[in-house]
Amino acid sequence: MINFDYVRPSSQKAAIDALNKDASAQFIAGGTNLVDLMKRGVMVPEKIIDITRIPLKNIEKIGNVIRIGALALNSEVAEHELILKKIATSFPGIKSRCFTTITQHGYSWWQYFTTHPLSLFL
Amino acid sequence: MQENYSKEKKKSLHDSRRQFLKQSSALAAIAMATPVLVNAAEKQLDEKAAAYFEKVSVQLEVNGVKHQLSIEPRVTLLDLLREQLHLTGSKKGCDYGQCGACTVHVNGSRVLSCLSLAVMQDGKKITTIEGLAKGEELHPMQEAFIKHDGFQCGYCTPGQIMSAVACIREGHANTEKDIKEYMSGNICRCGAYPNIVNAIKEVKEKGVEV
Repeated sequence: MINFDYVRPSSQKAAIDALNKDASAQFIAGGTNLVDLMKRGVMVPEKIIDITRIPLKNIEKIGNVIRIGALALNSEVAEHELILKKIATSFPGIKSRCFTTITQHGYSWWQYFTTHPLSLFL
Repeated sequence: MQENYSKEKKKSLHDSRRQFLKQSSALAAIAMATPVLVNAAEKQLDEKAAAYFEKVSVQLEVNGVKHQLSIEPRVTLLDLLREQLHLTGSKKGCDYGQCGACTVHVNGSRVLSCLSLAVMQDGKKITTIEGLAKGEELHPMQEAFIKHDGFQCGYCTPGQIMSAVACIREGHANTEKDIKEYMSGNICRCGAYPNIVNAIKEVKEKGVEV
């Protein structure tokens, strides 16, 4: 892997500033979809901005919407009370289990949404 | 005799070179240890200045032992454990986060160490397969894997066991279906899955603390 600078801001503003300063900078959180591409040389950022210490993990209900923080883990989303309740009431045919197939490894939340056949119904 | 002598001489030459490298890299590390780099974004300093310092200092607790290390940002947690701390229990299977052989616990949660950058684990507690047994006494999950023959070649086993322990701790080992679901990130090419499931079931049913 080609080496890079590493910064770890603790506020959203500092993170965005760091990104704006450098066109080839990338945010990193879990790393699943970045580190493997960096190993292959597909992604070659000169700077990595570690956003994992920024408080963005909340899963909360705001009005009619469930807002999932960008740093919420797949497993946390899959088991969150609000999500389970929403699935049970809105999509009774779908068991929450289908969300947990991605809890351990390999998929990002958005990949799941865009690639899983069930995404059509969500 | 002659042969022995030259072997020893070679060895000592080798040692001193290694010693030299160790010392010089330690000196370099002291010179370059830079929390500055980490703080650069906060303090609005120009990160390009910080880039002169390649290594970042990181504090880690691995299996109860604290380490103060100086590493390049590109080093993955798996490489740090295996190459620098010589904890070779965690295996490099695919190195792309698909096989689970490198699974370790970070602050109690299972994590794929091959896709985690070591610098990002600063201040965290890591447990590897080496940290499960208490001295000579094996962890109940290790015992169960042996008893149920939960492996053939054994390459995936450290990852399987770390996942299995986390699986029980998370409360995801209540049914066979659950176990299969929550162990799905760990691949076993020998196909020891039924035995692995049996081992986990036994530990769960015994109710011992894992």
